[in-house]
Amino acid sequence: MPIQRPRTNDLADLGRFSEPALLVLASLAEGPKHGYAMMQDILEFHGARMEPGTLYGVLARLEARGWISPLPTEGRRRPYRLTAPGAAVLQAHLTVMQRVVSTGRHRLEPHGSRAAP
Amino acid sequence: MRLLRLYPPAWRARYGEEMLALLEQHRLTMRTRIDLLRGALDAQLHQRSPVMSRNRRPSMRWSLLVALLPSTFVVVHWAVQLFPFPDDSTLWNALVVLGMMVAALAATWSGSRAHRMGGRLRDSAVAGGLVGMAALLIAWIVSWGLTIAALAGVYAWAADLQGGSGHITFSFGPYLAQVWPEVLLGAAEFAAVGCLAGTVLGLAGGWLGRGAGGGWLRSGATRGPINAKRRTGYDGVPS
Repeated sequence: MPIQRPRTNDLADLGRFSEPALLVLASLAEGPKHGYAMMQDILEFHGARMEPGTLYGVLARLEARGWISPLPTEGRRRPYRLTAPGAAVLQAHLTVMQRVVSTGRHRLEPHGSRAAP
Repeated sequence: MRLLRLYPPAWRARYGEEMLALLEQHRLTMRTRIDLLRGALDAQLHQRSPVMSRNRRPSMRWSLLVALLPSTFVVVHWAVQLFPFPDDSTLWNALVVLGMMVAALAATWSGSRAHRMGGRLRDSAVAGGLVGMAALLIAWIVSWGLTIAALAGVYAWAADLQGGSGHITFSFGPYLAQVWPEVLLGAAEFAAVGCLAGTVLGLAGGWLGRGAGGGWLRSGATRGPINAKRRTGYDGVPS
């Protein structure tokens, strides 16, 4: 069955920012966070250090699409939260990824492997 | 943090403070600096309130398009040379003057627009300087491109069409090797003059855009309703 990917609400539209955007959305799925907390969280669950220039390029894009929204500032920091459309985009993307992961794992298993020796 | 100054004014107004707060906690490495440079370039290229919302026209692209206009006068002049009028010197002078007027207006308009997007006078000067430099450089490049095209045989082809005869054998490499110092020097002169004049005109545009006189320019630079969000350059998600 062909996988239907949403066209207008697709993370792939973000080009080189699509992977960082996925990480930001996944981080915010836990609850509102400000920039530094997001960077720390992403470092913890993904192992990659996201730099500030990339982070704010992603935040601006996600905010413009309405997938995240800013909360009132706390001092000089501003937390962001995941919106319902953002959660839907994340959910759709994770579903596709999950399917890719399970298919890949299944095909790599010894009995299902088609790779040449 | 000096690198943050490279971001567009509207971006800094929206994200500057929280980015600064983040950077104070962040260890600044070479990778961080390169990433900020890339981020600034990205924001400059895609700035639509502040970077990527749907309502603001991309002003940098607009300004460069306007800067292209002077080169059209070079093309027209070249066409005039192909099919000469009895006396084309007056026409040529008129075209040059018209082209420079358009370039000057483009630089002034860009300065005004930079101010309306939330920039300071310095941003207006930079915008005007860039547009002025681009306008003259593009005109210079187009002019040389047409010269080379003419030498390469296009002119001879057009002469044939008019009943003339003969072809010009043209070798691009040796010709370019001969004239490149002149081409580069001319380009540098044009760029410098365009940048200087554009900076002054951009400053004037920014000053006019502040309301010191020039309502016509203000309304031209920001067509449509002006509201507080447009003033700050931010009309994305409410903060």
